[in-house]
Amino acid sequence: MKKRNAPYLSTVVAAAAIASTGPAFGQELPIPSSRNATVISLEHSPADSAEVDYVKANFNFGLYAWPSFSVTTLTPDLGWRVPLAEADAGLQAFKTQVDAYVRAALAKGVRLHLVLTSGLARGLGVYREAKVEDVRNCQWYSDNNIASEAQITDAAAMETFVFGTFSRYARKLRANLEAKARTSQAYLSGLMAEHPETLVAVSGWGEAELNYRRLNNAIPVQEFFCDYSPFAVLEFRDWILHAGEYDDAGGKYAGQGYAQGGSRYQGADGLARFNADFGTNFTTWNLRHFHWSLSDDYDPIPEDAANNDPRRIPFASYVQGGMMPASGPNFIAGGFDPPRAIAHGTKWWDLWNFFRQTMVANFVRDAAVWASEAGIPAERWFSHQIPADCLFGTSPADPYANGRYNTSASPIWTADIQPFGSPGATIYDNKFPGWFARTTDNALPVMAAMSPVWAIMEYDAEGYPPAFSVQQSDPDFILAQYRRVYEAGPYLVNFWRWTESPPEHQIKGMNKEIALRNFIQLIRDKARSRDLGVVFTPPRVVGFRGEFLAAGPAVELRLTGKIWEGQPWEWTTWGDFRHFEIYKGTAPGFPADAAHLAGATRDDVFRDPAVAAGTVYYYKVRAVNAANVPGPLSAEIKVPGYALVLSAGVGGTTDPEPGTYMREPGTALSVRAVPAEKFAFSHWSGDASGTDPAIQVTLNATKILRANFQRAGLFPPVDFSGRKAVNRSLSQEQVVLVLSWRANPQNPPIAKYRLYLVEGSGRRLLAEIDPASTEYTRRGVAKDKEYVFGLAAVGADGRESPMATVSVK
Amino acid sequence: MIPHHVPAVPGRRTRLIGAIALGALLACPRPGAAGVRLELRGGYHSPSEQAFRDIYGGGPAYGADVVVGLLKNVDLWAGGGYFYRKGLLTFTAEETFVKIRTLGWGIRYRRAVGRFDVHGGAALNFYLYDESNPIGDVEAGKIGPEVRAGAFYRFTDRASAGAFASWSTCTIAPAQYEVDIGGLTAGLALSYRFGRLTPSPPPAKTPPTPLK
Repeated sequence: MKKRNAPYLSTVVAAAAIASTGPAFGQELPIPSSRNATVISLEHSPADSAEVDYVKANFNFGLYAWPSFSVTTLTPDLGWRVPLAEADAGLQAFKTQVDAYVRAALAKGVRLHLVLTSGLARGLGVYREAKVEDVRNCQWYSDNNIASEAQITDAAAMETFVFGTFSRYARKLRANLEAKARTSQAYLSGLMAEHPETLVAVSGWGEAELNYRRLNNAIPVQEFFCDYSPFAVLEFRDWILHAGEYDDAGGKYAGQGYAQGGSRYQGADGLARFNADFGTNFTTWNLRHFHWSLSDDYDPIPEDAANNDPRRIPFASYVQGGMMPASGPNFIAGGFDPPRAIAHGTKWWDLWNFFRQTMVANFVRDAAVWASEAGIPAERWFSHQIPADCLFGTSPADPYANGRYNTSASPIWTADIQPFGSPGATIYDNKFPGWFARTTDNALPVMAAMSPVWAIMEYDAEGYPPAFSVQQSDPDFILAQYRRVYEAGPYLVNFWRWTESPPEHQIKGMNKEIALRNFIQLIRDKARSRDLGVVFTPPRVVGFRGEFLAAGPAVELRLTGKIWEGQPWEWTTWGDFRHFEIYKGTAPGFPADAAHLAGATRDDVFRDPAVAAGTVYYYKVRAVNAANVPGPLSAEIKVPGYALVLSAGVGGTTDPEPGTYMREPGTALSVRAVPAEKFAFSHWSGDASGTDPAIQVTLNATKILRANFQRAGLFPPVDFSGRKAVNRSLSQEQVVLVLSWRANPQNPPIAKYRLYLVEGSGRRLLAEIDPASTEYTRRGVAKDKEYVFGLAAVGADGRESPMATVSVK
Repeated sequence: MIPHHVPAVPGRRTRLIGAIALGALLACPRPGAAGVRLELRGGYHSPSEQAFRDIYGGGPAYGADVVVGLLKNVDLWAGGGYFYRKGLLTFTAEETFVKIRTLGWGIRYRRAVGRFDVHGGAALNFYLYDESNPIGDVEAGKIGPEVRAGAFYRFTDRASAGAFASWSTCTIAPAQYEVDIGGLTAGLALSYRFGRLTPSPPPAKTPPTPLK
């Protein structure tokens, strides 16, 4: 397998060339998209209504500067013993949380960026139970400890200091991670489809890196890098050998093993070659410490209480400082083991270090693959990596200068998750007395070269570390930093953060707020062009229509207000829009010159009173930008002097459908009234009369016609009820049943009623009743029997209404 | 519609009518008897049963009797009566009709007081009940007693007029209900005596007057 940092290098030059070119003057205004807009996201809850309103009111967002809020972080938590098949229900709390943010963003009309963390490198409490159940689920430092001496005694060590392993061989842990990831992503995918203008980005896993929590400048760096968990070590071995899950013939990760590994190192001879190639002296591929096998029962059913993994190491068995046995059942002399001491430049160390980075990259990439399979578009799913080889001015060319690089194994290339997602990274600069530590210096060009759609997931032009009393720079200086970022061309920048206490990164009320306001004003109309002086040429005006108004007379011209068909953007949101120029002529193809200029407006409606009834006019329009450069003319529209104004009452429509139809004077038009179901045409009103649904109209003037309809359907009688009563003479008795109802006022005159005895699903006609009747008496019914009667109205045409029914006992 | 016509049992009814007819035959004046009266009655019949009164109310009743002397102050009579009313069914208020016909015989004690003949007696009647309405037609018959009292004023030896009152009872069940179709009747009567009158005492003998 090729090293991951190689592929994107070849694209650096091409992408940089595109970025440096930028749109030329005279270029037509492009449709805003993730390729040319900048999402200005502020790290702050969108549910904070007052702050969101403040931001919207004080920052002049526009076509290519989109307001957004970022929420860092959300940590989906699928309980350790929840059946994986029930992940959807198990993540209800997460979904509820996401819903609340989406609703808040929708309500405020802002975009939303959410950050997901895995629970392994951030949100550590999520997998506490997993780590306690089997300590191999933790990341192990080079001394096989999971934390420092001081950290392990902390009651909250698992939630604070102990990272979970990223190894794909931690199969039970991975099953839980994958189930919750796929379920969360499916839910987010649905929300994105439902609210594409709101939920624009999700990044994850937030800052995936190996454990750095033992970083201590007082201790040699080699004391604290990971991950030596037996899961990671066995994966390392199989990655080299293309064995196990990396078996090219059928392994789950076939084809992803070490590019120079595989059969060359398999078997006894292979081991010898490996020793020769890498300067090792292993006598077996079995692990030196805590050997285990993929054939072990890894407990794929989390919901039961039993974990029968024979090699499981419960936390209760963990011995701080005692996890590197030199004898006993957990030790194999001559067994396989990664290098334990840093030796940059040696093949063996570099192979191990590359595997560590590959493990991190795979961890990030696997999540992107799942997101892609859940339907999240690649330009909405971002990685969110710590660019450890670029931190604070260090360079990928000399990554070892940064201790965090050694520990985290997350160089900037691990952010590249294409084609399943887009790259994203935490990139911020710190200000110290007299100097700046700028991650941006090296991270921006690498990220820009990686993909045309990329993001800065946490950005600060200058953080103020609390231990140093540094003064904030002036707004112009900070603005210059923002412009540096802008010129690199990120799609989304999460400005970290709107408020904070203490204000190490705070924007609100600081010079950063002033700078950001000026920054947005500068870029809002520039479509990510590096030339901030560019003024785009207006596109052709669409949706132009006109209507002759008999009153006046006048011609009313209307625009949709939208710059592009099917897009939400309005002309007034384009800062470089000046006005529309409207031209009028009396012959088709008239020249759009000063003699034909009818007027100019910035509104969507323009009324031209200089018209005469009976004359046919032609109009066209074009937009003009702030540099007074016009766009192309719209299609020419024809506005005849007369119009047919058609409308329809309740219960039908017309053919042609209701609306205003402008035709030349004298045009004859056929118009037909079309009743809806259960309605019938009644009559014409306005400038026509009669009951014939099809008429001819000659436009010798503006004609206003209305088609009127009436209900044609029949409705059952109302208040249908019944009762039984005793009817007697001196010696005889009879039970009679009396049914009563009211005529349905919605019905036209009816011919009769039909009374049915309803028996099960069938019915039997009992009587046909005079339409004026409202009561019916039936003799000789059984005193204790329940009867169900149905009564329907029957129209003159024989059609029968639905039945009203009543049950009488 | 379920018919409520309840026909009487023919054999039993025939026997009853036969018994009444036999009694009437026995009461017929024998040749040589002192005479036969024909009495016509007309009055108002007030039924005893509340339901009867509710549905039909009271109304005119008519009758005719043949009376013969049995002993010096004892008469035997045979005759019949007729009552007909229209009423309304209780719920539908449709018309219903009832017809009660009687046939019977009785015995009475009679005493002359001046020009008045006062009498009182009892009879046994066969009541034929007939009701017709939209519910159905029913007919039934049954025997019931009657007591009657009255007085006649003799205008002439043959013609009398008077008043009477009677009470009768007869409980029958022609359909769903058992009802008493009897009641109180009061009215006027006319009587006419046929046949040979009782001879007048011979005039007292007086000595013949001498010829001059």
